[in-house]
Amino acid sequence: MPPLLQFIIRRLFYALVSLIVITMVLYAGVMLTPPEARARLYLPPGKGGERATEAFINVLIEKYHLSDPYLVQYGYWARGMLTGSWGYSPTLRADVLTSLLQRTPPTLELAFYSLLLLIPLGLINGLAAGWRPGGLSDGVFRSLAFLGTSTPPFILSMVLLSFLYVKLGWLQPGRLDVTTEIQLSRSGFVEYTGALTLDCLLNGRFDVFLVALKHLVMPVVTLSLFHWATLGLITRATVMAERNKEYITAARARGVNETRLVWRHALRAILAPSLTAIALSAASIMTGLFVVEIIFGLTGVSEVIVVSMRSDPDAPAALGFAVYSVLMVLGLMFTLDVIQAILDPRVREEVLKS
Amino acid sequence: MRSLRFFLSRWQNWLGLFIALTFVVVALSAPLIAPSNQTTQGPFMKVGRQSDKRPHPPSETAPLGTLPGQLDVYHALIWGAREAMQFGLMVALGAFVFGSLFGAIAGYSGGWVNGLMMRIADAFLTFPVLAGVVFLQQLVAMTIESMGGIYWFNNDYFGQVIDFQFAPPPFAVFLMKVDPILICLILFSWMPIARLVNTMVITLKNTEFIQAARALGGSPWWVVRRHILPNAVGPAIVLAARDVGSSVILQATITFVGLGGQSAWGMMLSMGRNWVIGPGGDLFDTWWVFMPATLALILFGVGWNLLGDGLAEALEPQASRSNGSFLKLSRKKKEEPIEFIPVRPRPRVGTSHKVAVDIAPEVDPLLHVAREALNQRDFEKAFNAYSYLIARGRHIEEVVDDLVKGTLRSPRNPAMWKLLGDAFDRAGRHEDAARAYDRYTHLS
Repeated sequence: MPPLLQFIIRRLFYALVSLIVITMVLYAGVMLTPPEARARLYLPPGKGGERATEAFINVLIEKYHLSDPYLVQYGYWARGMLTGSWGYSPTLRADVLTSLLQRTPPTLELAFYSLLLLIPLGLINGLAAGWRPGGLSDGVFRSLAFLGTSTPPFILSMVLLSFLYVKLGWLQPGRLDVTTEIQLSRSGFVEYTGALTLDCLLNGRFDVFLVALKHLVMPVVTLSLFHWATLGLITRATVMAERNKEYITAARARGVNETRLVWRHALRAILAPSLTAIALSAASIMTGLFVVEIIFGLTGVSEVIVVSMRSDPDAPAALGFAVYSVLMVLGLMFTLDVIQAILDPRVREEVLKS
Repeated sequence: MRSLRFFLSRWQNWLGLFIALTFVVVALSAPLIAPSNQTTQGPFMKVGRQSDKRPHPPSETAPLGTLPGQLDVYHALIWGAREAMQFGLMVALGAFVFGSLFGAIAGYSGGWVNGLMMRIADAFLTFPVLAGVVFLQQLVAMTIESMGGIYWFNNDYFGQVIDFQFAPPPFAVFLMKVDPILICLILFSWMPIARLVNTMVITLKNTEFIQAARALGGSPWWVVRRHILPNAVGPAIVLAARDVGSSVILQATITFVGLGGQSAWGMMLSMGRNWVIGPGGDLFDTWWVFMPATLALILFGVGWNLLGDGLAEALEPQASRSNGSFLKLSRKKKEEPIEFIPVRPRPRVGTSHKVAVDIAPEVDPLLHVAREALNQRDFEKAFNAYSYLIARGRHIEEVVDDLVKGTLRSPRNPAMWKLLGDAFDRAGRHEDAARAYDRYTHLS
């Protein structure tokens, strides 16, 4: 078996273990409530509010084994999740799993563009700053990074909206403006994937593609700035430790020129620790993603919790969202791990050795 | 004491300390500098008709202007600082206590218990806080509903409504009192602390003084509490200090996007948002609805972060401190004379009872001369003597020691590095020798 495949299988197994542990913790949280409350996770459509009589709740407790010991209950619940019955959300008036899946593409789109922007930029800037600490690029980078880490994203988003949208009118929130949306619905635009920019390319509508990209600028910048700064600072620290290593000196002694030394020799070596740092903050990237989606009105996965927090309690949606967001975080971590392993053979070997 | 001196030598740390202390003072003196009256509700004070939805500029009744609905910005800012401080400290304290206990217990138990507990801590790292916040609030809502209560996250007229038609059961009263956001932020910020304490406990567990404490018959809990925790507490406090700022910012974010929480600063921003990003809004026309809360939030975060970074750096071992500061106060290094280590007779390996002596018990005169010359900074003489010693391989270990001290004392002297390289080479430590030569070529 090629080492990369072995590596992928191993990582998948780790992700599965993490998923089991975190869902067990989640269900332990559910177990803190009395069985009558837990039964509300299983209310079928049209049975909420006053129609959830005591007799009906007791039927549910009986049916879903809600007074059994913890592990047994967890087993039944996990089996339900695996077979796709994630419950019915009264506020969305829809099945939880379908409404989550339906809203996923915009979220993935936003995550894709943000990571595409922040990872290369963070690596390059951190490398340039750390190679000559105290130099000009280091000074500029550090002041920008300080600004980035100390500005809360939601405040940055307000500033951006105020200037670029309200004042100058260059950029707009939302996924598309109304005019374009109406034009699209009349021109036989087919939604293949749900991710707008990808659909535009598949439909051959480059004009709309540009409009959609324009709408993504503010969210992507807001989301990227903080993590760009963190990634850059970590890269900078790694580079500062790396640039005095012997292989650099050896390469320099061989007469490798400085540019090549930075972009070929050093860059490969710092990829692994920097990408690990990003993978470790995957959960906080996901939180940032949800916040940005809500503020800029991109109707992604986070719409589920926004609606569920609007009026009546809606526990099935919240539980489903929690599990789903963990899945997304694990997916993001897994992707970053695989990228890292493709780029850096040392990572593959290290995992296989342990 | 040295770390305290180091801490105070950086202006960033002074700035952080100043900001944090200002917030503490404002928080403590809130009842004095912003007295409440009958129209006060939480951190907000009404200074006009509530139906007046236009924010008014600063005036005598409201020193920093009003929010839509005529709520005083100044009052909300001051009392918001008090609430933020309480919230941040509570999250940090909770995370600190829970994290260090979790890490210490796991580390002390060792084996598979440690593995399992740390796996749980890792699993928490894969959980987005926002999902946790919503989940916990929904759980509370679900429980209260199942007890016969009424729970609305957001009623059109009254906002959040939690009510019972009858006297609520004690558990429900308890649930209504706790702040789910607070619990949630504690639940999602203890992992780094646990991990840190865990590593320290595992390292400490095998040191001699802990072994001794256990040998004395100390119970595990006593050993952890009396001997392990005090040693692991410093770095954990640093991590907790950073949580103060970040948790307050996170709380404000959650409040701003409307997912619960009672951050006063977040509420100020969300009430005034239409005057900033609504149609015709402007950051500067109605600056008082946006700027005060924003600045307070940013300063709060920056202050605690600077403080945390400074503490972390000061508590680190001396060697690994970075020296990339914007402004460095000069600290005079005291020169310690190189100690004379008397050359002890060394037993020759392999021979039995007879202690064979390499050299005379007194110090070799040449080594003595070399040391004296080095201490008097008569480099030429010292180097001559040392190179003679090195060339003959006499007392090579003492020579290496001396030269290492010499390079520490005058690290910019290339000849010293070259000599050290020769000495290392002679002692068979070729890697070190290469590094010393490196340094030499770098300097000359």
